[in-house]
Amino acid sequence: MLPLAVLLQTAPQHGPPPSNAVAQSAIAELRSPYCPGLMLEVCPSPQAELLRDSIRDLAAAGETKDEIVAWMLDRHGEEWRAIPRRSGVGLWAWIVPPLALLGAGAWLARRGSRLRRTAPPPVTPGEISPADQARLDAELRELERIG
Amino acid sequence: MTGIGEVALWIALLVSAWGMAMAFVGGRVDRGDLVLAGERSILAVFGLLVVSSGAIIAAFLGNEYRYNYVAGYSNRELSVFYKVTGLWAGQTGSLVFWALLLALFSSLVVLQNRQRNREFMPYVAGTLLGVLLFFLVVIVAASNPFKLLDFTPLDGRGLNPQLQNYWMTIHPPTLYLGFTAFTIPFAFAVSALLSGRLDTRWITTTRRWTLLAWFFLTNGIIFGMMWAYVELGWGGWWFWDPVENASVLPWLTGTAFLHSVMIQEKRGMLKMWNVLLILGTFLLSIFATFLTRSGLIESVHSFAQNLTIAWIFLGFLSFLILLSAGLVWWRRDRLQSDNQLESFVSREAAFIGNNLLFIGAMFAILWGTMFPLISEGITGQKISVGPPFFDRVNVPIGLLLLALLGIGPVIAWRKATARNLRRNLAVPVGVSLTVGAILWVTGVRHVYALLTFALGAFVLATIVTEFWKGTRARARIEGENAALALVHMVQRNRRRYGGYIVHVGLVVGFMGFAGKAFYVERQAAIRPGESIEVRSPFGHGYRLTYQDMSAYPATNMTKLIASVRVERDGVRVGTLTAEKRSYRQREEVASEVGIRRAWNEDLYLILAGIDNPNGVLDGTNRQPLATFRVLVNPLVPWIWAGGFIMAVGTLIALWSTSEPGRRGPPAQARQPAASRPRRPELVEA
Repeated sequence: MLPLAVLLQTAPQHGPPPSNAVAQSAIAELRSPYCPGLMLEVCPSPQAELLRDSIRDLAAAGETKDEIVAWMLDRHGEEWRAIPRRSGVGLWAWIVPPLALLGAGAWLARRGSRLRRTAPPPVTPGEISPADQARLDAELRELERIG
Repeated sequence: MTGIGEVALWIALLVSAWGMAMAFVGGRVDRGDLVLAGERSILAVFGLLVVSSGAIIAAFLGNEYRYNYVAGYSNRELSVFYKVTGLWAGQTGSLVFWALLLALFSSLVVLQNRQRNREFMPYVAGTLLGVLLFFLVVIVAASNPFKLLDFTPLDGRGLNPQLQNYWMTIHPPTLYLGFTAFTIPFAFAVSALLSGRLDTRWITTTRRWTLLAWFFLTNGIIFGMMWAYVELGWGGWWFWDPVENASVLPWLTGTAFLHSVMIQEKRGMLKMWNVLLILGTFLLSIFATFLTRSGLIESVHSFAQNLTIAWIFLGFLSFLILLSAGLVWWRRDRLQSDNQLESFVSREAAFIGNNLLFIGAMFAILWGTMFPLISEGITGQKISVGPPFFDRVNVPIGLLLLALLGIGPVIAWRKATARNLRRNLAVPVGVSLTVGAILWVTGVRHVYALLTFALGAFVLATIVTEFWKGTRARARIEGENAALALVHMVQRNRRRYGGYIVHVGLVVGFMGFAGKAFYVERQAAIRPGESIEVRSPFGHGYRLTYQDMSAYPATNMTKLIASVRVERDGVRVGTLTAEKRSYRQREEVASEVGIRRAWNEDLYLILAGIDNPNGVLDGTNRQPLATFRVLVNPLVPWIWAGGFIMAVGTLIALWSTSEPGRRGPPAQARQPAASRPRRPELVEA
């Protein structure tokens, strides 16, 4: 771990130089119209290369990331946006997974609390439930096996 | 030979239908002879599928282009190696291959359980034959590998260039081995539900199968990443493509299952959850095959698309969902937990948290994958969901899982005390904070990468502590030296320590993923003699000098190869080549990248473009301008190393000596004799 720290310390935090950062962030949000299923940043098609060049030119001319993305989508269509919008229908893409996770977590926590409240009282000395007996037997077998 | 192959398929279909009926009826009316007939049907179907698969391979090797499948995926120039692997190169053959592997595993189950688990076997055999029957119906009705063309072409179309790669020959079979092996615990779960024997026996009986399935699926996914990395020429290994996503869905539920069964085994809890998990894992395996084969969602893996098959798969999937839900509902009373959760600060709670996160990740990936279809179906507006979405949703879940990876193994069962937590977690937390602080001080500011390294250190520290404590205790008790004590300790509890080694592999892999945050990229168009310079995140200065461009005609393609001299920190370290390949038969162009590997980073060279390539071929353009894309990918080798460590850990766990039925009295001896379907030979004996 320590060598890793030493080695990484000299690293720039991201690959592209700052002058290219706007273009790179715009390209990273777009799918390629020329490679089915691929992002624009990795599409090997020559047309995609031209499109990336155009985006770099726009960035060099001072356009912002959002303006560049809007420019590309105006020409090629909204379906090439790789990240759903955080409004309208696209909002559902973002909110459903965390809501489901939180909902499931809350349900589990509630159920766990209820189970703990309804847990059977501890057995008195001398008594042992069949479930505990089975567990005890299993544990003893395991202990014996481990030796 | 090929005629026999088709006949074998038809006979296999009839035998599987007959055998399925015999097995289910035999189980229902307690007739051992009928059950035996069902089991023997599995062996027969396997033999028939071997014949059929052999016939397909023979057709490839014999260049029999009258068959649509052979003509579509082979040509005369294709090497023998790729002709043999043509069995799974296309959809038609891969379905036969799926069925063959399932028949193989099913036969092993039958042979393994001739004397054991007799009470499960009728419905296990029936279920396995049912799944085999489905695949055989699909093959015969909609995807027959022996379908003839109206004419016999002189040559075939050849294999997709991207599939002509070593990893691609090994990636699909490994993935299929994982998918099909998960059918075995699925069949035992269905059998447990049908027979009402819902204690832990179906889980302990299938433990090795589950691990084996997980082993293959994990390796299949990693092989696919390796293929993408070396073949697709993007410089990446995972792109959240729908088909990639589909393969990881059953992996996530399968991993959750591997953990949650421990709670059922130890505490008698989560019975219904475990049944649901394994049913879901199998359903997701079928879903993955459906998504790969349907082409319903745009994917770079859309090598084969067939909507007829897609609808058949969807129908089967719907049937399975209804069947599974119905069975679980029917047996819900027998799926109640024996024990209750006693504390949220316990190993059970940590495992439940881990399951929640695995299922959360699965749902998020499934949701993101299907969202374009869902949004288009409901609103008519197709919304694309790309890699940035999956990264943003899944990275936090992955980090939480990493934290639980460290907490779960060291926290006490039932209820952990503050003392237990302090004793087990103090050192790992200290190590984690120290690593995080060092990385911060040395300038690492990428939050997710920083957290990954810190949490990774936490997990590694817990595992090292566990090994150290166990070794020390054993050395003291047995009077052994440390090395011997370590070996004996692992041997005595391979499942536990194998699991720890898997965790180490996962941590190493996660750190490899985090390396992506530091990648460096340069692109330039240069002429021979000119150079591109790039500085790696580890501080090395690379100079890549374009030397020359050569044209080579090969058997089924023409290669344009750029040679690039590589210097690191001013010292020549070798030459990289990057290629453009033009495949004659398919009229396709593919790239071959050059990779210089080191323990900590890969130098990755892509030949992005060549000015006037025809001039290179005819010799008029000897000094072509070429565009190169150079990447330095830090820690990528760690991903492969992590995968290797995970494989080793899984094999150690698979070697477990704790499988029931191998020690102690046979399990069926504890069951009333009248309730067990008997084999005829046993009755006669």
